[in-house]
Amino acid sequence: MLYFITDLLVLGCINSIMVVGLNLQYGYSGLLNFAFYIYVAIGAYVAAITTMGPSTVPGISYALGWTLPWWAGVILGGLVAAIFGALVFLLTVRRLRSDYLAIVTVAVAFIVWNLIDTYQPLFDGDTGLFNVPQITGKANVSTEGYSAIILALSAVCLALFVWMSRRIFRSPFGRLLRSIREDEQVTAAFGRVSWKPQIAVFGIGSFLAGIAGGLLIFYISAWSPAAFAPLESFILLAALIVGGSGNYWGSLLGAFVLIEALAEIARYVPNFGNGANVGALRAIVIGLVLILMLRYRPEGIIPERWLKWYRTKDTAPAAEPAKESAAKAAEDPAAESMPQSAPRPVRPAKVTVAARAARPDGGNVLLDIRDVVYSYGGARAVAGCSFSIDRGTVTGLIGPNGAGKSTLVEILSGRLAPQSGEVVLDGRSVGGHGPAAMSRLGVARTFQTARLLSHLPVIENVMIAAPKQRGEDPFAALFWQRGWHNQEVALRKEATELLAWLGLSSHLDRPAGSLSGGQRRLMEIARALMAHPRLLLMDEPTAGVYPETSQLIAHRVREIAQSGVTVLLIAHNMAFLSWVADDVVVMAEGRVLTRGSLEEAREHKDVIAAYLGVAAGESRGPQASSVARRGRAAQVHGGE
Amino acid sequence: MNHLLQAVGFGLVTSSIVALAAVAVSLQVSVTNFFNFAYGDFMSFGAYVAWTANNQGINFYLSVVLGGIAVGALGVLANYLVFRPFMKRGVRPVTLLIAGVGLSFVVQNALILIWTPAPRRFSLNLGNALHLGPFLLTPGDLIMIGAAATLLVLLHVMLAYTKFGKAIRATSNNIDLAQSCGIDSDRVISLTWFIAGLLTAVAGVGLVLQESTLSPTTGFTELFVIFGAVILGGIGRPYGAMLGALIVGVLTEVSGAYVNGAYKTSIAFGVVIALLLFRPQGLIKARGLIS
Repeated sequence: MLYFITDLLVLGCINSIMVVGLNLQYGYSGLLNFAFYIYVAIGAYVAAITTMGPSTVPGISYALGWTLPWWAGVILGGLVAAIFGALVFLLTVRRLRSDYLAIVTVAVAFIVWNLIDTYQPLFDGDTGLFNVPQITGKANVSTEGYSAIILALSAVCLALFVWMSRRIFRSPFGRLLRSIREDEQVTAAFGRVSWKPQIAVFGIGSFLAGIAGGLLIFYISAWSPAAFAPLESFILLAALIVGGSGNYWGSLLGAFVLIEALAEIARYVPNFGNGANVGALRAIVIGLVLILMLRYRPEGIIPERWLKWYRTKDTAPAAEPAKESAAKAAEDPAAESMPQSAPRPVRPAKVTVAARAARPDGGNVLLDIRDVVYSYGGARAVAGCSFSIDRGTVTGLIGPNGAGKSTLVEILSGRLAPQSGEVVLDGRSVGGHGPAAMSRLGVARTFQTARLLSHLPVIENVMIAAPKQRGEDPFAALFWQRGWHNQEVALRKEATELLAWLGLSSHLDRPAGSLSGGQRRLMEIARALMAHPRLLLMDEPTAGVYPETSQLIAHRVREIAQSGVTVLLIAHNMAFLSWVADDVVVMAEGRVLTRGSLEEAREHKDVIAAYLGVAAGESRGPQASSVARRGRAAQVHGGE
Repeated sequence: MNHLLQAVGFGLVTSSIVALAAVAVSLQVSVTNFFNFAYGDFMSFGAYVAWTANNQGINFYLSVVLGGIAVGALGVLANYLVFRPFMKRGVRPVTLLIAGVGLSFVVQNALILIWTPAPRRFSLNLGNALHLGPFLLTPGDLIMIGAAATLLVLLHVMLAYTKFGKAIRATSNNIDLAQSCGIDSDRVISLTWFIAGLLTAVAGVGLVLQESTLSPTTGFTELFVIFGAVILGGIGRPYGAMLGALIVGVLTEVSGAYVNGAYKTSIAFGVVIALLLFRPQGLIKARGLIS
């Protein structure tokens, strides 16, 4: 009886280690590995052949035979699995969408399995390895005492790995992984390269698999290719999803409930028909549970959001009464309706928007766009566009639909490379540098349709944008919390204040997906400011936004400019522009039509012609009149 | 040289089986944008139904058709009960892939409950292998190649010239737009599952005839070869899938003729992965499906 319980617990702990590893890959990072068990097998085989002596039995052959101590075997197994995982990731994973990645992982696993099964000199082929010496030096011991030893060992390992998972989850590294999982484009826009953190976590997950394999082989003394059929990987995945992916407690629950409990229940089901029926029923139950969970509770029994995102004491400074009132004061303008004429000046409360220092030799011009061209196929969206922007100004970019405004913003943010011409930022040519590099150079942006990491809390959505986070390094995240803890506290404080300044203090811990359209715009502004930009690009910050929120955005944009950040914004709302913009650039058909104050632009005859759809004073036929009417209506509406 | 050509001949047989399956997968992926992980088990199911019908004395070809109808019905059912609710909710393709894993557990083990795990013999004895030029093929092989060619031509005619084919192509291109043009996309998707099911059963029977035995995991073991062909050809591109299947099938048999036969599937996988490294979007560029 005692042996029965310890045996159950040992397998439960080892399976839990595997599920915790899989959770790091799929739950934390969204990397779907359909062949997780192959890494367990690699760990087991490596642990075996490094600790066994050279083969003496004729007909049995395997590599190495180094007679190392057991612990060295376990660690080596983990390391080899980790390196193999990182290699597989490097070669295949980073290039493919995650469901194809799942299929490729299986193809790679098949090749490995095939090689192990067929090529005898490696791990003795399809017969597998037997009589692997256990920790006590003997082999094939299965007493209560021995399983108690392994239980203690695997429980310690499990505790260590859960602690590691928790560390990663709460660190900036974990936040970065979650953000990439939610929307890679956002993290790229803020200067993060996806594959680096992903390869690290894929390797760590594989390391856990390898360790689990090593522990398992020292428990059962034998291993053969039949022990790692594809089914095993899928059972682990099912356990993770049922328990709750993304949540390390969920991983433990899933491992114990779905794998262990079901196996135990299956033992008590009387056999009927042929011997395979009970096993088949068990698999059917697992399959049904998996489908039903995905359908009715996709976040699993213990959802990710049940985990605390950070320790409460980390945020303690933000709750000081003084800050509270400052936040309140900042929130006021949002609630209060504003007169439609000139904006009421609002002192930038306690918040200082941190702008980057200008390069001393940069002169007064921050951004100079010279003859930039970009075409999609044959259509020239930007056709030789040139203008420059001075430091600390707010420039409106307007023009009819199809004028090339958004394409220009995509070029400035680095997502598109200009096909000819030059973009000069602070005296340095930056055309085609890519979003990550542009972000590092101090360009931050908001998106035309707000992009958010909808399952993550608002505050994490904002914090992700902060540059140079020391805790994003996996090693620092795990083992050197002191190195980044203070920075993290400061960032959290800064994000909290920025969000309060934008009227979102009561939403800090809500998932971003629950925000309304206007709140999403505000959150995007906070996120962009968190990056401490030199240049802030805003693509229609007031599209689909309630008028009062537009006014709040207008005030904040002015204040942002006062603190030294240069702003370029696309807008169609003339009232909004008249509040915020120092001057406007009017674009039409990919070129700059005119540049000046909004009033001047309105009077300009080319601008009127462009908006009314009339080229050089000549009518384009019957359609033009309706376009003209709509155009005029829009302008009148905007101007009132 | 003769050795090589013979291997190419075997490769053509494998290719035609893989092509039928890959085109079925590709057709379904093109309208639903996810891989049905239970696809291999659908193949096994079709083969079991055909085997049972044939054992009851029903004509072989009629048995295959019955198998096809059964798999078609299973596909429609799976779509309604399992996949459609997810698609309505607009989940990520990964979720549908994992739901397919669950379905695969259910179908594969239901096969064990119904037909037991014992392997069954299923073969056609139509006489000895014939020398056709450099190739050495059995009449069964010839029937397989002929059936695949006929079905794929029929499918091409349907996709290219019928209204329903147009509806499938429209749905695969842009489901929302298709709906707003008055195409009943639910019906199109159901019918696509059904047609894919017909092809699947033929491929399943072909697979079993090639190996002469049938077990509950027969289809599952071929699943990734088929997915490999689909990805190689360009996802959601039925014609690409044919090309991918041709490459995978011939590669498997030709490599099997030169190195240890146990490695032949691995070599095919290896080449597929290597090709994908250079063309992640597949040989014929996949449509809007690569992130």
